[in-house]
Amino acid sequence: MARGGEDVTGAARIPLNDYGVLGEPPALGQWSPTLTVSVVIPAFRAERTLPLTLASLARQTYPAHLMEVVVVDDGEQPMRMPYASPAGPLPERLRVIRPRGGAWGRASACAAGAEAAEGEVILYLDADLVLFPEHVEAQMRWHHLADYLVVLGHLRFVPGLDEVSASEVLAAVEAGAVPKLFAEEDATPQWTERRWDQTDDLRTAGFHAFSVMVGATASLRASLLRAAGGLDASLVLGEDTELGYRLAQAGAVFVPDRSSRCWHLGRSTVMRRERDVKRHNWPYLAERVPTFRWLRRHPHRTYLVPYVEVVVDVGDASFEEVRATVDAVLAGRLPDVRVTVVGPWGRLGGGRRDPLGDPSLDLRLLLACYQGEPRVRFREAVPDDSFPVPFRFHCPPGWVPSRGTIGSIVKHADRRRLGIVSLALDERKDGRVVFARLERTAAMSRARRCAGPGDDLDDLVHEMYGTVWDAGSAWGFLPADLAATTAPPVPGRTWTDDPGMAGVGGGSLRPRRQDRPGRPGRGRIGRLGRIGRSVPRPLRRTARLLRRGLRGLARQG
Amino acid sequence: MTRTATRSTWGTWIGFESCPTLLGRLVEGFTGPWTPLEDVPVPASPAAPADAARAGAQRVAALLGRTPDKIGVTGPDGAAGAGVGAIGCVVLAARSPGDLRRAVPLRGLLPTATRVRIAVADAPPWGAQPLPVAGPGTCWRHLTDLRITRRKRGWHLDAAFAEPVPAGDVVAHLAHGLFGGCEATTPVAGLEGGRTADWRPGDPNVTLSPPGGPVPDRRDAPGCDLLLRAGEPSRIGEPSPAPTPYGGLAAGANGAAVVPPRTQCPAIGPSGDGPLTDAPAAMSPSGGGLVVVGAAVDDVIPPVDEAVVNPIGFRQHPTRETATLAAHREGFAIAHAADRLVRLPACGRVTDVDIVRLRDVRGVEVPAIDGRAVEVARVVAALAAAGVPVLAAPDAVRDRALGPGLAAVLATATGEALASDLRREELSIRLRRAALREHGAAARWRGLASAAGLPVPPEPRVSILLCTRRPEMVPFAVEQMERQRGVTAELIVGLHGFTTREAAIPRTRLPLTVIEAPAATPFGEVLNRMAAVASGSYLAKVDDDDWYGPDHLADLLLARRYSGADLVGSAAEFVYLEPLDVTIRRCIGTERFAPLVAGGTMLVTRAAFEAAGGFRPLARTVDGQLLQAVEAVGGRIYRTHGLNYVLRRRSAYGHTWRQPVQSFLASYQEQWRGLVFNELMEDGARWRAEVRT
Repeated sequence: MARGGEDVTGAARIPLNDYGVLGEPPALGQWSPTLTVSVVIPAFRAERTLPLTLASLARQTYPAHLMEVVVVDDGEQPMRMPYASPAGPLPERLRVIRPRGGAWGRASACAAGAEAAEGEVILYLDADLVLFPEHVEAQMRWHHLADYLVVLGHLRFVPGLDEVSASEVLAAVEAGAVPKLFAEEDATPQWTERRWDQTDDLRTAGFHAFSVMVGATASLRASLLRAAGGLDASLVLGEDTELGYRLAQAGAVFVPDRSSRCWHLGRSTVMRRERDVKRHNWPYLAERVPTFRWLRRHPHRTYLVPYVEVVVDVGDASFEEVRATVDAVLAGRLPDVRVTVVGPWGRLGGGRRDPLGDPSLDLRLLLACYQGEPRVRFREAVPDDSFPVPFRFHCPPGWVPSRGTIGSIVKHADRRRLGIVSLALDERKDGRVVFARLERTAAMSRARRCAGPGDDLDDLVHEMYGTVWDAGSAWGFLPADLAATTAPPVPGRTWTDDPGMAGVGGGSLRPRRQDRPGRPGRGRIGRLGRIGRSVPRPLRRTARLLRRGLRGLARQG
Repeated sequence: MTRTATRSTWGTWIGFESCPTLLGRLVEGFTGPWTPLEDVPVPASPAAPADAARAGAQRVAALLGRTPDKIGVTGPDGAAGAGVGAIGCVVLAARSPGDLRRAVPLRGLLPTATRVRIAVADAPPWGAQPLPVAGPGTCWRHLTDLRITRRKRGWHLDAAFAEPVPAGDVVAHLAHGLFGGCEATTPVAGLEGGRTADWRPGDPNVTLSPPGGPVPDRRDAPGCDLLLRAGEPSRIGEPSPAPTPYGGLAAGANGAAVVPPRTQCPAIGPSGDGPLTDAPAAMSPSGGGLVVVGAAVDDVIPPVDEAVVNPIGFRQHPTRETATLAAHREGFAIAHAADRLVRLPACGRVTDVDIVRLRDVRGVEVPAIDGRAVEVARVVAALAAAGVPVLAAPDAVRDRALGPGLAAVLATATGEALASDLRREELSIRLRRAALREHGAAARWRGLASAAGLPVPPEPRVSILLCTRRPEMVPFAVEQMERQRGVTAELIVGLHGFTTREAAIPRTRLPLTVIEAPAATPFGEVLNRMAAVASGSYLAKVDDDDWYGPDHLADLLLARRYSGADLVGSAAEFVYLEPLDVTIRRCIGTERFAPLVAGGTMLVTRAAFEAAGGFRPLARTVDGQLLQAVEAVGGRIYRTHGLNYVLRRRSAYGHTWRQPVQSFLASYQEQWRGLVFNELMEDGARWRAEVRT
């Protein structure tokens, strides 16, 4: 099997989700495929439709020697094998497997199928689809262009087999007349199609492209699936959305292809019971998909996958400096964080020591300080990445972000679609610049995928997402000693003010003030002031006018 | 003194062609009649500029329908009659400071009076306040009262004198106060008065002559080096204009014929009736009895007065979209959608207040207007000189009048370029360079003089002061200066702490002087030593590790000319932050008078440098101290655009002054990864390799 072009495809640098840089894919029937594909079909109570799906798979334009079909039989009982009583043509290479050891559900079936699959690309298909002949080919041409694409097929819902007879469908498949089986305008589009329309087929969808990932017909490189950790078998529904999220964090680009068409026989569960599906999925997704911010409105609680991982590298900093930084992060208005404190923890023995003269006393105090804090963890080395946490924020010890800082920077990065935001804090005498840095996991992952030898990851991130340098002071960063003099780092009421924001020059001349954390001194204004901070601009102006009016009244009185 | 004031008030205006209604309510207590200053005839009798005032009074007397002696004009003995019966009051209404400058060469047309009122209807916000600078002459000795009042957007000056004084002198001194001592334009010109005043704005040293008449002599000298004759307005576009009696060839309404009189030739003298030829002839120094006629200047548009129509006040981020020029009544109008921003007179003259109204537009679209290409060219030249980006439809006649340089830049302007603020500014800078160098008054007269065979003074020389402590930076820095174009320069290299043998000073076409100083010598003192050996009229300080565009010095000289400032410099808008490998563009207001400019871009006149006492003998902040000193002794500092300069903020590297790197990031408008140059830096890629040294 020719694997030529593998290293070339890895180098395709796609900005955000704008796969237009790949150019037009080759026209159907006008190119020579090389990649093998495993079509994985999880089948549950699909005895009637599966033979039709398999028959349409046997009539694909994609070369049969490059394609295998793996049916994962997820029924309570092993189904009667379709090829035992052939109701129609079957793909040349067809296997039927059962999930192992009592595992059940679509996610487990998909995971088991991917494990058994031998192809370089995995194409997930529902067992109630009737594919157009170019369905597989249309998706596969994209995978020859880049190795981190998730290609989504285009499906339309048509009446089920209770309205159209199976033999009629089968006859159409055998006659190569699938497109004529139903009228396009009578078929119901999938909900995702509207999002395709709105975003120029996801080219402009940016970071949100993954949310239209639907498992009915989707293909991706097996290596990409492995990198993203495969399917989460603990999920029963919504596993495709969750996989989409993790694929996005692994750097994937989502490509819908309207010429990869198929008919979906009958209506989907989502269509029939949308409210119930949402009620079921949202608690699961809230825990696992941090970028669905509307599912995480709670002001204090934490989740399975945090939104931002804050890395504090202890280095030679003192206990007090590290604590000031960690405390400030924990006190931030973004509760959805995890703090990873990196230090030589293995050095600490349990043996007899001088309690006050211990040379590793600062490290020991740090461990002791956060024993009961579930959001703080201790690591020996900075992890390679923070996958699947969407953001990582490196914060040098001894520097204190204000309560709003981290949230504002993340918002800034989203609004400007940035991959890295670096904040210069200080310049040492030796010329070293002390800086904090926000990294977008998706951007770093994609940069790693695209990097050749000698490539600088930051250059790649800059090319595909954009990077920016800013001044830490403009985002509310203060050195710990200065912050301590203005607001002591102890829990209590003082945390409700921006620690030490007063006294920062306030010399920020940046045009986009809404990106900024709370302005200095707002906290003192009182109730209206606090409203002013969280509400949009016009209301803020109203609040200010109201305040002025009240003050005027008070003066007259 | 006031008893005849109402009867003998004489009013004249300049610049109100496009807004005549404004005139009526401009001057309190005076409603007319008004005489256009450009129509006041030049007296036929020979008169020196000062004497012309008296002659002007005779004209005025005629206009008022009185005999000269009744309004107190005395005989040719020169003593003005005592107050009784003299013109009580002269009122001059100018629409803008730019129009006031046009009145300066016509000052001889104003009579003497005991009260002079000057109203300026509108003034640009960047302009100075109209405070007269008392020049020589007697007029201010008789001053009894002076009142300067702000009137809406304009100014009103009211001066009373014990004796009648030439009102023209008051105008000239007021213009001097407004614009400072702009360098004199050479050569000394003779004007026919009236419309030819457009050609010599702000120049009090012209000689007026009656139309077609002789140029009056000056004391022991001919009246002028080069005479300018107005052409007939009807001649627009005619291919071969007929020679005038004097031999000059007339051009269009905006054009003029330039005639260098035989200055040293008594035969023509004031009467100008010597023999004529209508072809250029060689000019011999003695030249007895020969009149040399200059070549006809066909389709030449009057120069742009760079002191008023200039990039000062340019906005980097305009708030409105592109406006459009269109014919409007007999003149023109520039409108943005339904909003008419500016009305222009038929001759296409643009003044400073018009430019102010166009500052908020992204650009001006100029269509081809049939039959008026030359006037449109005049508008385009002025807009370009002011840095207002112009999108012009092709028009061969107009482009010929604009000249090849400006037309070429104009052809590069596209709507896309205007959409980006940075590209727009680059275009604006290229337009203003071309326009000011081709159509600026100084440049135009140099061209006319050399075309007429008159000697042209050499371009002023710039002495570049390049002082460095780092031998390895010398080749880089010298090369940055080597590629400067459009200036006459010499290079003074100061080696601070090392000797010529330790540094490889590359060969350069620039005259080179090397000064060596021990490391212990304060930086400021080394610079002073370098300035002492400099021979140029301007001193330009440059830094050894910053990047300079090839037009850096030329643009500074241009800015000096139009701003009249004593020290000009760029803003350090573009900074390469070496520790972060990031180029930023900071938010710094440019094209304005400001107390601070980047230290590596200062260009100061020799006179101002000496008046400020040179650099202080300090090791650091010598730049800031020079700026402070220049301002303290009354010098003006102008900050021009920053697109020719990229400041290099090094990492740990000893330099005279350091600002923490994070403070650069506290306010920036744009940011690029790596070292990025704008287009005006040209060939920046060559320098990229140098970065990591």
